[in-house]
Amino acid sequence: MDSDKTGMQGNSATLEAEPSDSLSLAGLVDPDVPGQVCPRRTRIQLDWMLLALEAIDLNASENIIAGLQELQLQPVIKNRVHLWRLRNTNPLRRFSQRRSLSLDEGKALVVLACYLARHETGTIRQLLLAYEQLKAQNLSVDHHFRLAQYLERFRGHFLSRMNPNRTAIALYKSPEQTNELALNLLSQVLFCTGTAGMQRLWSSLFDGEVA
Amino acid sequence: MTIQRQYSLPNCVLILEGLSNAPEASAGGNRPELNILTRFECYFAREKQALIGGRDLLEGLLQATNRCVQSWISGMQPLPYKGKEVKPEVQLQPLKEGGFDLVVPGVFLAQGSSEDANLEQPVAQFHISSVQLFDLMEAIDQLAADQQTLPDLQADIRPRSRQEVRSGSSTLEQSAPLALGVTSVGVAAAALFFMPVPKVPTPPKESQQAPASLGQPLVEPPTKSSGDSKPNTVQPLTPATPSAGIQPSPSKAVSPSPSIKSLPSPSSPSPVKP
Repeated sequence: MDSDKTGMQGNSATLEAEPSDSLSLAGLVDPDVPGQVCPRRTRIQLDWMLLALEAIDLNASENIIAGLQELQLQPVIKNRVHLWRLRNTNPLRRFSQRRSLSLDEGKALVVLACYLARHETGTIRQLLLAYEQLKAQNLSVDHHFRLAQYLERFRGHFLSRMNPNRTAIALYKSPEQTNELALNLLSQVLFCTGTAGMQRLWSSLFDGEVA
Repeated sequence: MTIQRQYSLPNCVLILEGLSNAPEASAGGNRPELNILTRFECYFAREKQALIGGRDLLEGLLQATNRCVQSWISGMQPLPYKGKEVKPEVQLQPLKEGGFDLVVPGVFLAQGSSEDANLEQPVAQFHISSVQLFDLMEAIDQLAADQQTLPDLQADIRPRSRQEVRSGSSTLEQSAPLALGVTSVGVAAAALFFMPVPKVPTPPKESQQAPASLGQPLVEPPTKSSGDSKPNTVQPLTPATPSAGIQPSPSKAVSPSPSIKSLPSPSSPSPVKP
């Protein structure tokens, strides 16, 4: 319902983004979704994954801009402001934009997320292994400095950018619940770093959404 | 000539042995194409038992990994397995307490060529972490992407349709609300069955009973229904009830009276002082 509605509204906005000839987008197949725009769950998941990547890497926002040039994604994502507008298509954000996310724009965000995740593969693995060790020893996450730092940064980003009045956000009131989300996103991001990571992330975003 | 290929990651190593039936011209120079698999081995770090089998095992692992990873990244419920009776499958499922459970039925394992442990234990079971699962997935993805090793092996990565996801949560989950509704109605009906039917005090009946026993019901009528039965019940009881009903009210009325009395006492010293 929601995605259809925003899809109608956002068509004019998405027209300005020209289809990219970028090689990196070519491998991702267009799913059969209504309106050929990214559904609600896709927009939320993509934004949250980028949020997790920003919490892992302090220079993520600079690396994203560098990645746009390196991956030749500028025809789809022109600049920082355009990227901000795309990420604000997440309906759970404080400043959510009432526009849709076209499939090309979605692909560009997936390519960016995988690019960042690959850069941070080592850190992501370290954090996950540390969490498993802590869990095996029944210790809290505060016992590992980098893991605690990641969780704290994620919580900060999440609280400052998400709209607390939305029911889906109200679920993450306590730090424990936000930590659980952050750890889940961390392991999901790990699976995007592999050889077929991009395809796997792209297809998982439309799981249960295609006809 | 036997060809051996190895795909190794920190927590998982895949070893493939096979033959090439391609003509030498298209054999790819120093790296011939492996297209007949004779033996497949999968080793996990810190696990003594190895998974040894053939192409069935490799394909089973590939499908189970795809299925599990897809639902893990998307956060959707994984599709349930059909069960051992229908068809033996390699099963990989997330556990509630974290990590994943990998179960490989004995049909997929090469009994003769493997270690003795496999003979005694027909089903191989591993508890693997998310990092280990990633390594397994990555090794399989590297193998699937390698055009010189089993080129016909493809990782079928595609989003599941609405129907598939719905059927995944099928029957049991879909019928849960209905079953809950039916059982709650049943429980409520059973509970209400044992409840006594409330007696509706009809005016003519009580007016007949009341004069028969004057002593006992004196206290009850005002507590039971103060508003409804007043006009009828009070009339015959008027000699008794007023005395009971009035008694408490004076006791309340008495309390203010001492306060009035006590007032003069402080006031009395005041004139004395000056």
